Amino acid sequence: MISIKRKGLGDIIMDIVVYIVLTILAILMVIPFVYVIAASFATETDIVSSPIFLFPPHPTVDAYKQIFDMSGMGATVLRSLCISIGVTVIGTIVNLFFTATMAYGLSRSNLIGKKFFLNMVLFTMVFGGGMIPTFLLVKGLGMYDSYAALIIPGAISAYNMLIVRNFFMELPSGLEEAASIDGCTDIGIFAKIALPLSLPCLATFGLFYAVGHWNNYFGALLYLNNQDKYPFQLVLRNMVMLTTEDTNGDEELPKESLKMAVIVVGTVPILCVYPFLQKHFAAGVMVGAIKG
Amino acid sequence: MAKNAAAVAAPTAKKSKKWVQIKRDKWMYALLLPGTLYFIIFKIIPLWGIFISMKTYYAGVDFMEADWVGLSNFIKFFSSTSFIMLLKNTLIISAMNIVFFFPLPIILALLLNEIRLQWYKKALQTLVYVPHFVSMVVIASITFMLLKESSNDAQSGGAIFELVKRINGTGESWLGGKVAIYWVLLFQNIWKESGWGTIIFLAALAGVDVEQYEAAIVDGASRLQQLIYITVPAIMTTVVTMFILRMGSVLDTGYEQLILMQNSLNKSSTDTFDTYVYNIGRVDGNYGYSTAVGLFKSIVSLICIQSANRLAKHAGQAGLF
Amino acid sequence: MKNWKRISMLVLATGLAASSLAGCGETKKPIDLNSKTPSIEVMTSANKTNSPGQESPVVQAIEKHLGEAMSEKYGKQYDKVILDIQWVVSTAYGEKVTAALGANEYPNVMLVTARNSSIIQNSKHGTFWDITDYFQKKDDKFKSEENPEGYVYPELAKANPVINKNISVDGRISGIYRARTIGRQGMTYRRDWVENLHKKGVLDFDEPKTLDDLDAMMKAFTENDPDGNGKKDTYGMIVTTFLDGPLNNLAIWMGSPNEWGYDEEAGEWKPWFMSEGYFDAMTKMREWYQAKYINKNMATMDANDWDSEFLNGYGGIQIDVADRARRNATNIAEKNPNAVVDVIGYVTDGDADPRVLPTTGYMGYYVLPHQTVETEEELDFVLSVLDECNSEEVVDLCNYGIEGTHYTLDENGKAKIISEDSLTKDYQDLNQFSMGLAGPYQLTTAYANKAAEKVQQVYDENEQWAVMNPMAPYTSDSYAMSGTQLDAIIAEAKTNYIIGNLDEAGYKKAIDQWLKMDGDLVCQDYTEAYENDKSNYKDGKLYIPETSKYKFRF
Repeated sequence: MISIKRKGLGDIIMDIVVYIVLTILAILMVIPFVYVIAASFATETDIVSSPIFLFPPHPTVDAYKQIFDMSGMGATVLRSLCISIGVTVIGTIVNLFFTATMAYGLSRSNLIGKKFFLNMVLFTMVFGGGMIPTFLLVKGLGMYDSYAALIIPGAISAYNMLIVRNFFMELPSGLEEAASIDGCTDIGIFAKIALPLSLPCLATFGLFYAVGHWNNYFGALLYLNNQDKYPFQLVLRNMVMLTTEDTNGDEELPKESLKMAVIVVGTVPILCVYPFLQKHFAAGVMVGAIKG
Repeated sequence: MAKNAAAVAAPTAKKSKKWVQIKRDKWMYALLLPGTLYFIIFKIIPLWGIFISMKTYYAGVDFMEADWVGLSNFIKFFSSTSFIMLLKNTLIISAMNIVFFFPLPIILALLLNEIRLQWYKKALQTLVYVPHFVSMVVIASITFMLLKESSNDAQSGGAIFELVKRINGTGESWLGGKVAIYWVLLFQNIWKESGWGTIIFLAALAGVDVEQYEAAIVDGASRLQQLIYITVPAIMTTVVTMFILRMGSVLDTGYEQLILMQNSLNKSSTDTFDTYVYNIGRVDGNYGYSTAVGLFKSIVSLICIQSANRLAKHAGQAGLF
Repeated sequence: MKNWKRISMLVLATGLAASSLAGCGETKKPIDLNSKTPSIEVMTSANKTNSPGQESPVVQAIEKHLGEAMSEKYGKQYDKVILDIQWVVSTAYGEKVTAALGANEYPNVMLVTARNSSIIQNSKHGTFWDITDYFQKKDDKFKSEENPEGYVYPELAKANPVINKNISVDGRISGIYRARTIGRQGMTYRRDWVENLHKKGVLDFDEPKTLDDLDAMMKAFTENDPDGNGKKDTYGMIVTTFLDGPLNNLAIWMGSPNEWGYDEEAGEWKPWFMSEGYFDAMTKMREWYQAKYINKNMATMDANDWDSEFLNGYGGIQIDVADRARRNATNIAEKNPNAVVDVIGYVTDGDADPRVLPTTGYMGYYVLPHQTVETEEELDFVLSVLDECNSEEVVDLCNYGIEGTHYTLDENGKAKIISEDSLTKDYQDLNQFSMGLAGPYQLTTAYANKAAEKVQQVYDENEQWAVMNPMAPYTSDSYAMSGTQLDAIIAEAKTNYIIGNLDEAGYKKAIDQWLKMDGDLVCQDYTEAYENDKSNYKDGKLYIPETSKYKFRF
């Protein structure tokens, strides 16, 4: 994109420093996760008795077999995976719709009543009613035991909405004016100009919301009544969080390797989303392009 | 509306001007409608729960029938001996996070932005996000593994514990240290979230106008100069926004991490409002009292976020509101 | 600031509107007694995410059995009694109960797991049926050979009165408890180490019996190379941040009351950590710690490392639940085939009688809300069904499934479970639904290893020596209010005293702080609760049994 023909010595040194520092940081950040992966393939004895290792001394896939065993947990795991993907996709679309419309609505600096709306958002951002009133509301609206209860009550995060609004406010105002002279309504400008221009921002918050949905188990715990409706994270969490009790009342702890495998299985799908979004993060060129 | 046209002539003119503006912006209000409905239904209506703090309410006992206790929950909280300790611990943990942790994602994002090899940049980005997805329970157990002290003189402790012991020779406990634990907590946060935190700033960096860099290169600006004079100012609004929002959670420390890392030696320095509310509300089931503590936190948040906003505006930034 | 006013007005208005809505609109689910297939909705905790439902052959078998039993009892034709079990994962069970209470929507039968202030208030408030008088209810028409007394609910009549009292509120029982092992605590140790040291002449026993034996064992495990590897690399007891496991057991062995004791000199009830016995136990541990018989990182060692220190052969003693022995015996065999893991329930103080710290004996109890069990007739039916659920047949079905399909009987008449996930999923978690209060039941499984058999012996023997907590039935509003914070003060002081950061004066200071932070109110609450209980009076005078009287140091 930017052609740099002549490099000063300072620039070269800076390049080297940046590459080294970042590479070390990235390795430090990823080592524990490598351990998690290694442990998910290790035997129980190895995990309990050896310190950190990056390759399992006695590799085995038992933990994964247990998770995907179709006669046992497998069917539940796969069903919940589909549910999670569905909730995440639909939920994120709902989030982005509500967040973007409101953020854009609030981005016009001289809108009458803007202050009122902003204060309402701010107020509810710091003050909340708590679990019981929200639960009653969700039940009263007939959303109890339905997936809507996982999506609608969290349709907007005030925090995210305020940041998106800031992105909208930074859009060059000339564009909007030009469009409105061309006879576009505000909704037209929003849909045809503002949204395409803020793709990096929408991709970012889409990712935030998606990760939020993916990792959310508490809403499912509270609002879903039927085990058949449980999302992936809840099923996985229950596989590892619960100590089971056998017939004599003795407790059986879940295996460490199973815990680790569950983390891997629960993390990898959402990690895969990221590379698809990555190209949008580099979309900054567009601003320049349209302007030019 | 105006009964007496003559008497209200001036305000009507003002009003009608307002009306023109509102009409002009009618589609903006249409855009605001779904979000506003959401906030009213799901955020404003449940606010009646705040009154739980002034009642002896237990789930299952009719809310209307529960006795009013006025402000006694608040008085009990402020006069309790733990209040000062909780406040102190909360502020220390929070301040350390704001001072040391808050700038890191920004720096990291700026560094990532300097990487020109696109595939390498993408790879690095993906790697630094990974820790965000590792749950706190796993991070805690890895921390124990690295920092644990030896159980007797013949065994060795965790890798980092041994390393530090070799360097300074003291072998003091990290996990049980009243001050050391703060650094452990901070480092856990940094490790887990600083990579993830870069996303917003990278999105902001993506919005920087490329023409500016091109012009700067023509003028012979070095990379460092470009960074200081173009890149940093370009993301300043985002930084300020994030900072104001961060101030809104100045008393939030979360409870999961703290409860996982707590032990009898460090408890007096790791108990915060959030762990307190967790214990009293979720464990002991005392909703009136825990709601009162939560309400106190909310009021402080509101003050902080407003002050930060004022301050930002004062400093010539756009602010949030 | 005008906006703030408007917002607060809005909040007030919607708040009032919403709270008036909150009280109404609940749907009722009466039990249809005239149907041939009446259905009872039960909410209980699950440890799995694929707990069995109506499709499970085991559930079907139970329902059919219940139908037959009810047909016989009521002389009406019931094809089956549908058990509509709503499984709620145990990690969030408390929240789910809170939500059910808050929304006023209940199943017919609901498990409550925590006796927190919310449950206690609801019990006092009459949200649930008071079933105190139903356990021993008799009717001549039920007299038979197996039921000579003519109990209406013969299985419920077998409920342990002590546990029933423990779950009561103001002396009234509103639930049917899920029974658990009372004598569950024990000491797991490396028997091969003791035997090695016996052979070497360092110790003169193979199994410790007294506190002095334990003392000698702690010393020898640390100093006399019990594993015979020529290195001084082992220690006595493994203690983690969960100090209460070892300390509370040791304290009971050394003569501390269980939770509460009566101080005759002061004329009041006091918590155990103020007693002479408890302080002795702490001092003992302090000595052990100084002599390095205990791992020196006990204050910070994560409880998850408890077993790994044992399995690696670093430490040789764990005092906690006895079932640790069974698990560790299995796991240590992989690493060290020569290791022998054994378990004992207690050691005695010289020739004194054994003393054992019991569990509460229950894990939650089922309540019957008035809202969904409306009439006496319905109550009777639900109780009859729950009664039948405690019969041998239903309990066996819950625990092991169907004979021939899910398990076979070995030559000793023990159940041999066919452990295939496709089979166990038919009945897994039904043991969470099951109460099992009419036990012991005849059918058991074969033991996995020798230690497992010993664990069962420990359970059985411990029960008779259990030192009960005299205050278990009572509650304290002050404790319900801030119990977790109060406990934390003492937990901190105990650890610091043992590792030597505090001396006796420092420990005393922590107790004073505890008293000042409403600990005194907690004592007062319990004392009053005890005095208000009519069953504690004999001949019109307040009666405090000798076994509740202890010496106190603080």
